[in-house]
Amino acid sequence: MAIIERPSAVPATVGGAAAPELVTPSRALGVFARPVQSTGWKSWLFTVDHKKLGIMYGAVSLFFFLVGGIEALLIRLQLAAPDNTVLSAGLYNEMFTMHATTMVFLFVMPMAAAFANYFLPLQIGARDVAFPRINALGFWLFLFGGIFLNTSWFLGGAADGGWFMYSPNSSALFSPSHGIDFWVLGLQITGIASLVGAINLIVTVLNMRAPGMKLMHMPVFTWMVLVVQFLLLFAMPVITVALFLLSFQRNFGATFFDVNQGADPLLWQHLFWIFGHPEVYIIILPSFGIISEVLPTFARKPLFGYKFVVFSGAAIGFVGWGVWAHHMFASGLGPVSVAVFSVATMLIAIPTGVKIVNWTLTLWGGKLLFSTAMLFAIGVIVLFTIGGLSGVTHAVAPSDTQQTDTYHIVAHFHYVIVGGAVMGLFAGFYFWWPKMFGQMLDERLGKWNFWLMFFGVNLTFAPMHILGMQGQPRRMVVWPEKLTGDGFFDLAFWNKIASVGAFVIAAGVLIFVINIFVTAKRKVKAPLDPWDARTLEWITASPPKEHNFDRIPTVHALDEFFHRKYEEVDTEAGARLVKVKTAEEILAEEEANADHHIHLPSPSYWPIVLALALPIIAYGVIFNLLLSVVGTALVILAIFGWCLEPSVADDSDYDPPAGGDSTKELATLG
Amino acid sequence: MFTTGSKLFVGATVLSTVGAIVFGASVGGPTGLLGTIGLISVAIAFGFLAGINFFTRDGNVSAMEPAAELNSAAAQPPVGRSMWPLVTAVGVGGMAIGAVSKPVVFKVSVILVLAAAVEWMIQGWSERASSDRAYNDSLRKRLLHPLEFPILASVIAALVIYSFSRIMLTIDKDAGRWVFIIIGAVITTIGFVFAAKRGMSKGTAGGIVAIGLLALVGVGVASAVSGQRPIEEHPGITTAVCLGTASEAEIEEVDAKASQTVAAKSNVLANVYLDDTDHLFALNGGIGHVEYQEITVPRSTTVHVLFHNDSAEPRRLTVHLGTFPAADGSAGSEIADCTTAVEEGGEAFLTFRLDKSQDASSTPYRLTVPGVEGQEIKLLVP
Amino acid sequence: MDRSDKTVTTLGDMPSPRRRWTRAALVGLGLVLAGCAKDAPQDYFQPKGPNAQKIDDLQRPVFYIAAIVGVIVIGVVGYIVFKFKDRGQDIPEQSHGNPKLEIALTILPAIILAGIAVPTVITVFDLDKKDDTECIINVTGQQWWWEYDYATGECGGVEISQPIVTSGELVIPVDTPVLLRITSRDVIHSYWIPALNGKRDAVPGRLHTLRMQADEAGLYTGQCTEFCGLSHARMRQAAVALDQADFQSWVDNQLEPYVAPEADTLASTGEGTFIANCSKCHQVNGIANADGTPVLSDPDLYVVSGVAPNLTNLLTRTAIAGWTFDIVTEECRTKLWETKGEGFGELYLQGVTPECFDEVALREWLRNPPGMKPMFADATNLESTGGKYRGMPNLNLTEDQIDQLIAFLIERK
Repeated sequence: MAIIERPSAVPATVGGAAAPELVTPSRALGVFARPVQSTGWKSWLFTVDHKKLGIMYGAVSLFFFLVGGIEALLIRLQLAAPDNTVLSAGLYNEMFTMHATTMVFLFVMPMAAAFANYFLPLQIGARDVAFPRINALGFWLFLFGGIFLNTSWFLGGAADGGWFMYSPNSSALFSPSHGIDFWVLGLQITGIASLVGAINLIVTVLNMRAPGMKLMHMPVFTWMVLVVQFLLLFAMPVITVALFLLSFQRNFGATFFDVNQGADPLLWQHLFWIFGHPEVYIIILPSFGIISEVLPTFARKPLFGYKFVVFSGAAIGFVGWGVWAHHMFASGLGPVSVAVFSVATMLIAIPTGVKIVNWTLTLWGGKLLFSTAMLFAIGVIVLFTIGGLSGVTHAVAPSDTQQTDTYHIVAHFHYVIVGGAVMGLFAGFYFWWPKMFGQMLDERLGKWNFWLMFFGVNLTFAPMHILGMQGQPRRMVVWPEKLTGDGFFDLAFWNKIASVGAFVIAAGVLIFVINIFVTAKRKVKAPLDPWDARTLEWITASPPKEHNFDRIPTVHALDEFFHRKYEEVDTEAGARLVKVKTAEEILAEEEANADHHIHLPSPSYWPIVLALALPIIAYGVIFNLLLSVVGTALVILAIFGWCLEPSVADDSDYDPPAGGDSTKELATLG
Repeated sequence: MFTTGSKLFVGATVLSTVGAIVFGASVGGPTGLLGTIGLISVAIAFGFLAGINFFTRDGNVSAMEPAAELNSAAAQPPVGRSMWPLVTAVGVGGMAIGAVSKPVVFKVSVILVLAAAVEWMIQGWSERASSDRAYNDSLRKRLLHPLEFPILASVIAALVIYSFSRIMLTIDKDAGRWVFIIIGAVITTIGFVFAAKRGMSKGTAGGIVAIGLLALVGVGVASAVSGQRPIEEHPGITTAVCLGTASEAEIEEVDAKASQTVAAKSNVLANVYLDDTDHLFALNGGIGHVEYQEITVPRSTTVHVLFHNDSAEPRRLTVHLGTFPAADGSAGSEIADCTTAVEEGGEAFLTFRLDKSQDASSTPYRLTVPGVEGQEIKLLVP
Repeated sequence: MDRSDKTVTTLGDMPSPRRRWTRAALVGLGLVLAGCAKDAPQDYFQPKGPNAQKIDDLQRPVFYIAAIVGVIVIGVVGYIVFKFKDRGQDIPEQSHGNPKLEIALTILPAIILAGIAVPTVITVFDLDKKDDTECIINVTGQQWWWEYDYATGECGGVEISQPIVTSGELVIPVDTPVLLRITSRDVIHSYWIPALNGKRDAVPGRLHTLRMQADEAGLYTGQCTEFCGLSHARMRQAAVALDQADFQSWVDNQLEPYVAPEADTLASTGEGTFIANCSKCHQVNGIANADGTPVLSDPDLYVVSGVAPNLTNLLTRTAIAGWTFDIVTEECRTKLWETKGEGFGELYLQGVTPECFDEVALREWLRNPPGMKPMFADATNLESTGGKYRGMPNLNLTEDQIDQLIAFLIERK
């Protein structure tokens, strides 16, 4: 730590008549110099490398997936039998609130962020994201926000208002524990993570694409991530405002939703769902992107109707803003609003249908390889179709007044989220694992993983259609035996089946976790291009070097990598696609022509410090405002540290030092 | 080990610590406390200076690098102009003036002196940081811009908001809206000009903004000095107004500013009409074909009634909220609420809530129109 | 060839297409069959009134269309999986699509959806009509039970001279369009009788309307369906449809003046116990102190929502505490639930007969209400509510007092 830099090593001219030479310090000013480790725990803690952050995003999300999964299992245990007593009413309410919150905000969203972080720069041929330190900040905020949210379990109980947190049930009068305060502040913190991440990735995509990569040459995954970031950019401020209103109402006596002060509780519902519906697409589109990469790869042909898929993704992004009130068909909006939103909701089925059709037609006429990733991707098509079609039945507003808040809805969105989003993410795991870690996940365990999950999803959620249609409402800690009926539609039977199904899914997930360990232990190096893949991320080494590409690739076509490998050759039988180069040859070519001057950002201490300060403020808001003052001071300190730290770390500070004729110059941004 | 300079400060620290202990132990009361706190503060300040001195080795670079005698920053000629001596002088003068006139002047001057001291110190230090003048300048910026920009921005924003709010509070209510429109238009126009004339020099643009800012602050200060306009106060609706027992003037004033339009027409328990024959009746919300003379109101529920006046006279709708024994055991007096007077063809909302059953009140719950005799709608609260 | 092909051979076998087919068929079959269920009482594919019927007429075709589309899509995927498996064929042509086909496949769902949209919009407006209704009942939700206030005036040909307050069981005349005006006293609830109509939220400060009409006398169960806090699962309700004569008898019975229990009986001691312990919150219309002054409840002083169930005719209803705990034997309940049309009115108007009365739940409830139904009704929660209870607190009644109260309450019908 030094506030004065060390003098330069330039030798002094003693006694000469000439004016002394100007000396510029070799080391920039800073309260701390920038950390430089590229190995060891510090290299993870202070990293700004999008790949390390992506892996950490993934690991933490996976952990929260297990937490949310355990919550789900407890819920299903409670519902396995009538008038069951596994969970108390209060605990059950906390459980389903936190299950939804964890799965949405701490698993699916950040897991999509993990893939986006890792692969978006690789897919567009960039060396990092536009604002690397902000990228790190996003991750740490997500981690600390998630931990903060879950500490509520040990500090008086978690939030118990449902993830939709309808007012006035969420007010301090009706939920006196601190659970909802934790929920509100935790989501604010992870919300900042999403928002800064969104800005970062948008700038990255718009400004840092490799030469020749037009927007319409971008892989579909990148496209979908871009759409999602725009959705986040506009949706997160809405929920932030709503959460602030709720926070002020609970902690500082504001009356935004207090009926006795003339407020209307529907204000919360509108705010929540204006965020909440785009959120649905935020959850599902990355997965659509992933399977749009996986399907063409294993069908050995380009995505059918690339432009249609891209534009329908964008269309979903736009129309997604105009359908929020379909969550409120029973709220008493009046017939005009209901009719309008009903029709708008049906509209959104069209671009969604387009995607299904295009994926199916991508497979048509292909040369299909059923790897685990491919199985998961096909699973998405099947399960998402079921979920989407039951969604259409909800769009019909009058029938929705029967269906809403029953298990039919639970069935619908779990088919969409588990069958669509989660299965898509698993396709991503199997597809990209060799790229991220240089090792193949075991395919045999993978098949088990897939079939258990696919079977489990249907076993769990298909009976819920029946439960819903038989009138079992959601969010009820017990269902009474007298309302079950008997025979084929016996609710008791189907509830049991659904509970068994939940454990089948859990077994599938467990096998995935085992697979990770088995693979890591086996230490077998994966082939460079195991899937005969199509996009830019496969052009570099596995796992990619710190600077991603030795030479920034120049892009000529969609599926650039494929077109470098294959060329059309005329034969007697007509034109045939023939492999002209292997991945190894292409990589060798790139390495031989490496850029001399590689521009990479240095690690930084400040993102983690800044992120750590926010939960401190949040604890302060709940327990003692003095703590918030401390947290705020830490925020200010961290921001100043962030501003003051050197933009350039000295070459010789690197461990190991940058050698040869390439220098590690640092990006000043971020 | 200890450099010469730091020895001095270490000594001073020890001395003031001892002084604090002695003073604290010997002098009691508030004086003693104050003196002790003062001496402890002095000790902390000396300790801090000692630390810095020790850390920078008296700023004696040559101890480590002999070459620095010649090419170190300290060997360079001073840079020259600085505004901070002047600002400090103004601040000190202001403190003197403030001490004898207004405390606010004193406080502002103290802040000015402190700010100048920080700026001066860091500028002075940065000018000696290296022998590269451009680098030194960038060093100053790196250290101070993160401080200067947020603070300056907040100060300017606060000035603008304060000045503007003073202006709006001083001028006439009707003139206010024009001032608002004109200022907005001017700012928008200037913005357009800036955007259109890309070649404009920084100085010109800054000058225009500065003039505008000065003008705003000037007028704001003038407004603050001249004081606020009198704020009109309207009497609220009271039971006396609703029952017609208030003074004529008071009732008139209540009605003077009444709005005659209603935005929300849904969620009403009943629509209450006063027709052109002064007949009062209710249509229950929902069923539009049956006239009711009594409405059932669920207990402890906030309900809304929409009053439509189709009679020629301005009328108000009054809800009689019952009479309950007061805390002292006396019979209590009737409570009522009402709309403002509604012109012919106008509508008004009346929101009320009845917490007790009708049997608990010694007067019946009902809706009436003051001035119209013999017409009422019973409110039944089981 | 390079290493990538070696990897390919390790990828394992493809799944059997037959398995996929079976599953697809099962899911589709499940969807279709669910529409034919007869068993569970809250099945919303069993409309018993014109409003629910309109919804059913709309939802059935939509479900069938969805099922057909689903079967087609899954079938096509299954076929592709079977047909285009990698059997060593050439790498296919790198075609990027077929715009004409894509446009056609975009327009096709658009047409189907338009076909669904038109009747949807018509039904939305249809179900919102209010002017043709013939009876108004105010439905008010609170944690965790429903209160019904019958407005005075005509209700389906029956004159209601005084307001009627009841809870749990909504009694309506058969074949009469009834308008519920739904609101709430605390948080948002949702009123749902699946056999008669869809849901409508009860939002504090707002008054929402919902049409109700039953084709046939009978009891139709329902449930609060908007999450409303701790005991959301124990906030149930039913609609009871009676034909006109029976409805008239029901109204008459509800408005019958209070008859004090015979002196020196357990029930008359129970009256005193009731006044001393229960009447702060619970009203029994007409009940009077020894000096003849009426006993009036003040639940607004003790309960957050400001009301407690009116117990004037408690034993005309078959369940207590948010219509959750039966006070009739299982046998009687089943009979009542399953009887429809002819004979139902007679059965229902008997109220809880001594043969049917099952005091277990009532006794347990009087002993310790929060133990039976989770509520924020103990003293530790009073700080956050300004001294008011949410739900019924434990009154620490003695067994003797409970006996007296039951004797008193059993006559309330």
